[in-house]
Parts: sequence; structure tokens; C-alpha cells
Amino acid sequence: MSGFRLPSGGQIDRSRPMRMTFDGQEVTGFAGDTVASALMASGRRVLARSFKYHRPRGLVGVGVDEPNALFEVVNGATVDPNTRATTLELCDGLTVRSQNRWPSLGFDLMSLNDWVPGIFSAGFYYKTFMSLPGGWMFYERIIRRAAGMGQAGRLPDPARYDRAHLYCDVLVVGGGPAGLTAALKAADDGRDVVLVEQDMALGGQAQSEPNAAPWLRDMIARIMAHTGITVLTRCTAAGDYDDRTLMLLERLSYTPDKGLPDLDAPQARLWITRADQVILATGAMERSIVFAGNDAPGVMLASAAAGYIQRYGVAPGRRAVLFTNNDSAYDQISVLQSAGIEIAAVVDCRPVVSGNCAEKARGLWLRTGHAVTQAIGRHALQGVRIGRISGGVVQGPAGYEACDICLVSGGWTPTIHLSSHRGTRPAYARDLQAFLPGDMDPAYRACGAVLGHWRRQEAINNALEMAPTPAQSCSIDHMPLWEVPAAKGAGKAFVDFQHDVTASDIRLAHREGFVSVEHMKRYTTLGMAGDQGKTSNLTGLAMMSACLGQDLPQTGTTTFRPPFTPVPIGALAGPDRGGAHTLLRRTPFRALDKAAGAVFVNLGHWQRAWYYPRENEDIEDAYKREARDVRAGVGLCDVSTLGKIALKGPDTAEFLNRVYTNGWKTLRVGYVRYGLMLREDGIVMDDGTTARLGPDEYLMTTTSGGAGKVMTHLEYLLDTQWPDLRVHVTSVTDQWGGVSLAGPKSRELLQCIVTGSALDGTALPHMALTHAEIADTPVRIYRLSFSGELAYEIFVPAGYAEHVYKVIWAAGKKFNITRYGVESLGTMRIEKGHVAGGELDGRTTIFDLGLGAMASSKKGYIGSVLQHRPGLRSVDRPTLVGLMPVDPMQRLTGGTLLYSEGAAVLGPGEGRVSSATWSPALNRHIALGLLANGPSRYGETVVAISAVDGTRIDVTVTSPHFFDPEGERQYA
Amino acid sequence: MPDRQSPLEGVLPVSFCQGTVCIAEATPSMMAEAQAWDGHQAELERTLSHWSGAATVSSEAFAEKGMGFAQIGPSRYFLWGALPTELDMGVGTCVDLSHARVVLVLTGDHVRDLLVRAVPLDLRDCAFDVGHMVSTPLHHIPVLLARPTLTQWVLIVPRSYARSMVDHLQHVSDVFSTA
Repeated sequence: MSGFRLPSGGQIDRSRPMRMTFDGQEVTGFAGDTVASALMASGRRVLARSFKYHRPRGLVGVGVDEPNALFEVVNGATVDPNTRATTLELCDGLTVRSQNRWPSLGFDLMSLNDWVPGIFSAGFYYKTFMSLPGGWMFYERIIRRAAGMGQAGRLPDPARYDRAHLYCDVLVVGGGPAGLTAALKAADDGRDVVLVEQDMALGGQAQSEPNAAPWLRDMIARIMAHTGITVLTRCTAAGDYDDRTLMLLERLSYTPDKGLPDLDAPQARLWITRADQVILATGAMERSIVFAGNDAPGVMLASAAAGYIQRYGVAPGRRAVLFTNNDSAYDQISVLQSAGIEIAAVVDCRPVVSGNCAEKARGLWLRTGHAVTQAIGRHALQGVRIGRISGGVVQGPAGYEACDICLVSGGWTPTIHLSSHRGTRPAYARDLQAFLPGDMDPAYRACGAVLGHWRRQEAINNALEMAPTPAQSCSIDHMPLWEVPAAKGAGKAFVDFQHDVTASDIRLAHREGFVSVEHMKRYTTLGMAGDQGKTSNLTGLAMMSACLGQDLPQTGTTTFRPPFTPVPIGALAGPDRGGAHTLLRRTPFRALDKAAGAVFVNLGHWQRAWYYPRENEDIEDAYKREARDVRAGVGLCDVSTLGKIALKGPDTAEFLNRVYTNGWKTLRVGYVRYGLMLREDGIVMDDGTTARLGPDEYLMTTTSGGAGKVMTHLEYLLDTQWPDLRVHVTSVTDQWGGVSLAGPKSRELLQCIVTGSALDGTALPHMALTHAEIADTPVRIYRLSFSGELAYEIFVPAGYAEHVYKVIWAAGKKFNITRYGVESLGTMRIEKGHVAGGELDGRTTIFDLGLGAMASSKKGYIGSVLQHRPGLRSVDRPTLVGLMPVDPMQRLTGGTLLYSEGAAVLGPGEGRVSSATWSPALNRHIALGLLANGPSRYGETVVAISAVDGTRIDVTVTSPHFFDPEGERQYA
Repeated sequence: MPDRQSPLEGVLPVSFCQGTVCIAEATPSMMAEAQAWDGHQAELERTLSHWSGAATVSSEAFAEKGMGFAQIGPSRYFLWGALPTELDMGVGTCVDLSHARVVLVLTGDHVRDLLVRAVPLDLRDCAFDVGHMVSTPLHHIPVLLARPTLTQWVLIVPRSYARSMVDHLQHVSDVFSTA
């Protein structure tokens, strides 16, 4: 058997045939078809294999509730797994393939799982594979290969994704009768409305109703013509977050008009939506009834069958048995008959049905008080067994009825996922046998079927109410029936098709002591992952309640989590991928550095000149030459990236006194001081210098990477701890370009170009600053040194920075000036023993760094108390030392662990190498490190062992000041 | 004094989205940040109003007079056009940021379509009318966004990020304009 295309009907465009490939075979359909409807029309029954047992599976639903027909969509080298065939539109050239089967869909060797009794019951991982000592380590790889559904592609996703913010007065989620009505009403009231519908067309269930077409056409025309309504179809409200922020995912490709994704165009658009009011008109999904063999291809939801007929002009089969516990299934009888489907029987578990239902079933074999007890057929439904049922128990022998489709209706479950995302606890409506949205935020409203108003007119009336209320009683007569007890040997009865969770699994979980529904859910995997229990959660919950002998609401509810349907990770990233992931910062000298052949490195957000290779030089050659040239003559380095924070106000000195460890009230105007600031826990946060530019004006510099952190820290303190201090802090990092001019010839060079200030050692001593001009441009010149050389930092307004740089460079030619980058800058600071990022790693105290003299005892400051915790003052703490390999040519690397000679190589050792380099000045490898009780171990040999590759290097512990320890050069 | 150099020299003006978005750089002018001391906010606002001739940021102040101010934080203001000369240090203080920011002027039919992809703001006319200025993140970087006229939007961005931001806006527009 099989589904077949009807000669007429449906909302498809029969003038536009479309071709796709499924598992290598061509399938044709029409524009307006989904992949599911096209495959159904082609007569295929088995479209998937189940998760654990690899049982043949067919279509159950017609929309997002479809649990079985998940495909891999192949587009060139990329594969998009777990795509629902029922929501994927047919378009020319589409290639899809079935998943989770080997070697083929028709013959899947993994279906052996279905024949091994008991192994794959609830919790089988734990019971079967973890109980053996070491067993999991053996089985894991095999299980991982076998488990899962679709295979994600291994290549980067080449698709582009758009992302935008969307604001509106009213967001209506759901384009069914209630949603359409609510949207129109809000727009007529002058509100700015966005209406989102996950389907390709508006209408919801009304699209499948035989008599709804005229009403629907009229509503859609009014909606589309209304200037106050923005309609987003193919757009799923995937998640609902704080403050009415909803994540909408709009599909932009795989449509008959747009075809396959064009890699230049976005495949999907993520709308980050904020609305003043949200109206949830998310409708309801039909639920199934659990019985033996209910997963056989051909067993499907009754409303889904009507949907295929009405929307796509496809009949799902030729001879049907309709199995229901409620009136709504009777509405489908005329639809089925209009498609020429023979209805072999209407099986209703209720002992008596209404006259209206009886009228609809006139001439059919109506079996009231009966239930389908078993579906027969593995690859395609052959028939069903029908037995009398009373009090939930099957009475007597069951009869057999041949059919190729069994259409099941177990009632309706409101789609409350979005209200659940925000933590709103669902409220159980006993009359409806369903959970409804609970007490929601006042800015939220729900209306229509999600409130239990199942019928179209009821939903419309409800949407027109000022404050829509839940249905007080059920307008569809029904009798609760979640499961038809299976006779022994009748086969598995499935609750959750997507995860192969059976009725037995739930009972087993109960027998094993799982009483919380949340535990049961995790133990059995009911309703998890991409499906989020759309068709299974309530049934599973009801069965658990029965096991516990409790009412359903006593057993609890489950929590639906976002996303409602899967969202590509690429859509979350939007356009911010690859090179666009992070915005880079450029210094004012970048163009000059680029012209000079600099190689750049990204440090934090900054793009910095790393080194300046000359002909045939690699980084090793270049940085060594640069460092040598600086120490021999003069070099120019871009230091614009230093964080620069302007502090102004009469209380600035007091503020600095509180944030730095050392004293600041004695700093004179025109001088600079080095400072360390601690976190509240006593650990060093950052270091830098602060200059006093005027009586109430200071300029702080921070490390390049620490600027944002320090700025936030200062603002936090002023805003929350000391709002009484009159201090203004603002980042001026971008205001000033900065260069360091370092080397014994730096003063001589500067004197050639600077006007307005003397630069000799008396006029401008170490740690002093002056305001001057270079080529008519105002500059600030600080005399301070990171390299250990006579050095100046020259700061110039960024718009003039290039000009000043060029003047310095031109003047420097007669001094053989060189450019140097961050690599050689790092080398020189290690030679000098200055701490930087490797040492300020969030673990070190001021005492660890040998800077305890800067910890003032005359005042309090941030971190001053907690830095004295016993653990931070222990003599065994790793403390800053210099390290020299015994063999000077052996290279140390940062992160290498330090051990005493002969000590066991265990754990983190006695310390670590924090920064390492080749020293051009000493002609050997050197490093800085932190070693337990370091200063008392100068001269001792310890072993540096790499935890990565096991390399062992003997090193001698020394003072960290390798080069010019007396500072003669920088004080020159 | 040399000519002031822009980090976007040779880059702007630029147009994309089939010419429906154009980004140009405004002529550099004085920009600053002012802060009132605790309890002196009203005094500072009076000073700034007197100085700029505007009660708050407005199209006239920004586009025609070239002077204005806008509150960007608690007791904190962004100023452009000139530095107020009469600021009493007992009231607050002011820091020059003229070289720290670059002013991008965006015009064209699709500017709003571009901006809703760049900043998390409600840019509908009812929420962001002419004369508005706000501080907002753009790709996680703080910027100021103003709308001096109906058809013109202004982004005041940190100088070091200016080039990356123009590249980013172009990249974003490339994505949505092909949808």
C-alpha cells in the first residue's frame, strides 16, 4: 500500500512540479508539498528507523509534532541532520536521506536490537554497560558510533545566517484561527502587531477543516492588507526568555520559490524579539493512544491524515480504521471519504457516542466500547486487532480488521511550551485532561486551543475576549484512554516514538523506584532532546500517574525547554563568525606599521605589531635583532594599546590611595608613579603607572589586556562604595596614540625634535613627565622604562599620532633607529625582570611578585586585609625568581612545572615557569618563574618538566633581574 | 598644528546594499564627557544648556548648530561641538575625547534595516524619533547612536574600533541584503 496523490484538491500548485532525491531515488511532487507529503504521495511507507530498536517507522504527524521522519538534508558537502520531513518544503534539487540505519533503510542490520529482549530497556546504559568494572570504557566507543540519530556534518557550516532585533507592541505566536483573530483585533486597536507562524501558510488546523476555507481566505486577506500587522510565516517562536524577549527563527531557504540555499544568501534569520504584549495562540496537538505495535508504518494521527488530504491532496492509504476516545475524530470521516478512503471501522472506546457522532459515522461499522489492541505489520500496517474494552481492561478475544492505515485520536494537548520556557507552571484542567498555561506574566495572554477551546468558533470567540479565559468544560466529548493494555507477546507499545520509549519502560522505571516525573523522564529519555515531548509527555505522565495510583496533577508536570524546535547553532551566531566574530582594535600607527612590513598579532581585541622582519628573517631572527638594536641604539615601539584612564576631581589622590597598594598623596604634579592594584581577595589584579598632570588631574595606564577590567573596577567602586568621592573616570585609551622610544640614544634623538621642554636628566628625571611639542604638535613625554633602557613614552592626540611618528622616525634615521614589536618588548622586560601577563595571572599576590615593599602599612586599600590570609602569606608560596637553564641553549617554555632535584614528579610541583625567552643581551635562554620559597633558593638547581611532552631541563634559580640589575641604564 | 587624521581615511564614504546605505564621516569636532559631582547634576545641566543653547540633544543642536549634549549615564553627559568654558570644578568636570571618537553618518533607505542588525534597540519612529541619542553596544562595543534628522543616523564610535565597525556593518548588510 500506500499513500497516493488525489486527482484534485489540496493547496499545492500542480502546475509547478518539483523533483527531489530521497536515498538516491528521485521523488516528484509539487510546489506547496512538504517532503513528507511528496514521499507519501510516492507510496513510500517506511521513512525512518527508530532510535534504539531500528524499527521501521512511517509518518505519524503532519507538522512539527512528527517524531519519526527525521532526515539528513544534504547540500553539497554539508549535512543538516534531524530535519523533519513534515516541515521541510519540497523544492527542486533537494537531496535528503534517511538516517540512523545501516546499510539501508529497507535492510537495517541494527534492527537486531529489536530482537534482543530486555537489553535496551530504560537505563540500559547503566545496567548493561556500566555494571562491569571498566566495561563502559570498552563499550563507550561502540555505543557512541551506534547511538544518535542524524550525523552532523564535520565541515564548518558554510551557510550564512541573518540576525536582527525586532520590536512590536503585540507579538502573536500562532497563525491559526485564534492567532489570526487576536492579531487583527490588536491591529484594529492601533497596535503594532507581529504575527508569527511556523508553517508556510497561515490557518493552523483550519487548513485541514473541510468547511473553513472561505473564512480562512477572508481572514488572511484582511491580515495581509492591514498595515499594522507584520506577518512572518516559516517563522518559529523557538524560545521565550526574560522580559518578553522571544527568539524567532525564520526559514529563508528550502522553499519552492527560493529553492536550495544560496551560500551567498542567508539560510535563516534569527529575530530577537521584544514585545510589550505577547499573545500565545499556539494551538494544540493531537495525541495518540498507546497500544501494541502502534509504531507500525500506517498508524498515524487522525488529524494528520486529514491534513495530508486537505493541504497536499494526498491520501495516506486506501482502507482505514479510525480509533478514538473523543468526538473530534468523527470530523475527519467526511474528509477521508472525500479522498476515497474506505473506512473499515470506527473504533471508539466510549460505550456510547453522541447522536452527532453517530450521524457522522452513519453507514460505517461503529464499534463503541472497543479499542484497537494491536497493530499488525512491521514494514507496513496489514491490519489491527480490535477488542472490547471496559474499565481500561480488554475483555475477551480481539477480532481482526484489515487496513493499511490506522488513524488514532487520543484527544488534544495544548502547546504550552512557550509559557513553560519562562517557568510558568502549567495548570491541569481535569475536564480537558490537559495542561494549560498557568498564571502568566500580565503582559502575556493565551487564547484559542492552547486554552482548551478546541473548536474553531470557540477559539475565535475566545480570542475576541478582552481577557481570554480557559475553557471551563470540554467541548469535545471524550473518555480518558492513554493506553490499551497489551496482551502478552503482542509486542512493544510506544509512548515516545522519537526515543523509543515504551509503556514497559515507564512501568519499569516505576518498579525501580522512580517516583518523580523529572527522574522518570531522564531515566527513560521520555520527551527529551529535539522532540521535547510534543506527542509523548502527557501520555507518559498519565501512565506514571497510573503506576503511582495518583491523580495526574499530583504526579507533577514536566518542563518544556527551549528551543521548541531545533535551531542551528550558526543562526545563534548570526553573521558574527570567522573574522567577524570579534571586532579588532587598530592603533593610530597601524598603517605605518603595515607599510613597514610588520607582522601583526591579535592580543585581546588589539591588533598589534608583533615583529618587523627584514629580508629572510623569521620571527626568531627579527625579535632578537630588534632587542639588540634597542639596547645598542634606539628603538620605537607602538604602545598605544596601554589602557589609559583619565581621573579628574579633587578627591582623586584619595581614590588612588584606596585602589593602589602604595601611597599617592605625595605624588607631585609632573611625576609618574608605578602602582599595583589588588582584587578584594588580595590577589594582584593589574599594574601600571599613574601620572599627575595637574592638581586634580591624573592619567592612569593599565596593561593592554586589563584596561576594561580596571575601568569597570574603578567605576564600580565610585558608583557603589565611595559615591562621595568627587572623581570622574573615563577611558581615554583611544584619545592618545603612544610610542615608546627606548635605548641609550633615545634622549639624544628626542632633543633633536622636541621643543618647549628640556629633556636632560635633571629637567626630566626617571618617572617624571613634561608637556612639549614635536613639529608643532602638543605631546606628553613620560620618562619611564619597561625595557630597562633609557626610555620615553610619548603620548600624542590620536589624530596627530601618525604625524609625530613620522617625525620621530625621520629624525631617528641618523641614529639607526629600529622599530620593535611586542615580541622583543616581551624579551626585554623578561631580561629586566618586570612582571606582566604571565606573572599577573590571577593567582599571585604582591608578595609573590617580590613587590611587598609596595604594600603600604599606613593605609587601607582594596585587598589590603585579605592579602594577609595565612594561605597567601605562606613561605611555601611560589615567589618570583629568575631561571637560567644549566645548558644556556636549552629553551624553556611558559607553563613548565618546577621540581626539586630528585623529588617525585607529582602534582603541580613547586612552581612554574611564567615567561621565557632567548636573551640577546645574555646570549642564552632565560625565564621568569614562580618557585616555592624562591628568593632563598638562588643558586639552587631545580628541574623544569613539561607536563605536555615530558621534557626535563635543569635550571639554576637566580634573581629575576637578569640585565642591568642596578638600573644604571634606565636612570642614565 | 598638522591636519587631523582619520582612521577611516580612504575607506569612507562607502555605500552598500545596492546603494541604499551610505556611511560617511562627519567633520571632526570637539567631543567631551562631563560628569557632575554627587548632588550637582541640575547645576551641571543648567551650565550645559546655557553653553549649548539646547535643553537636551536635538536635531537643531546636532545638525545645525553643531553643538549639543546628551546624558549617557548617571550624572554623566556626552558633549559635542565645543568644550564648555565656564564649568565650575565644584559642580563637575569635563574630559576631552575629541580624538577618541569618530562620527559616522549613515544615510539611505535601508539604514534602519542595517541598524536593527547591529544594535539591540527599538528603532521604530515611535520609540526612536528625531533628536534621540542613546548609548548602546554595537557588537559588544559601547557606541552612541543618534538620529539628528528623519533620514540620517549618527554613530559615534571609539576611534580604535572605527575601521572594524565599518567592516562589520558592511558584512552585516551583505548578509541581509541578499535575503
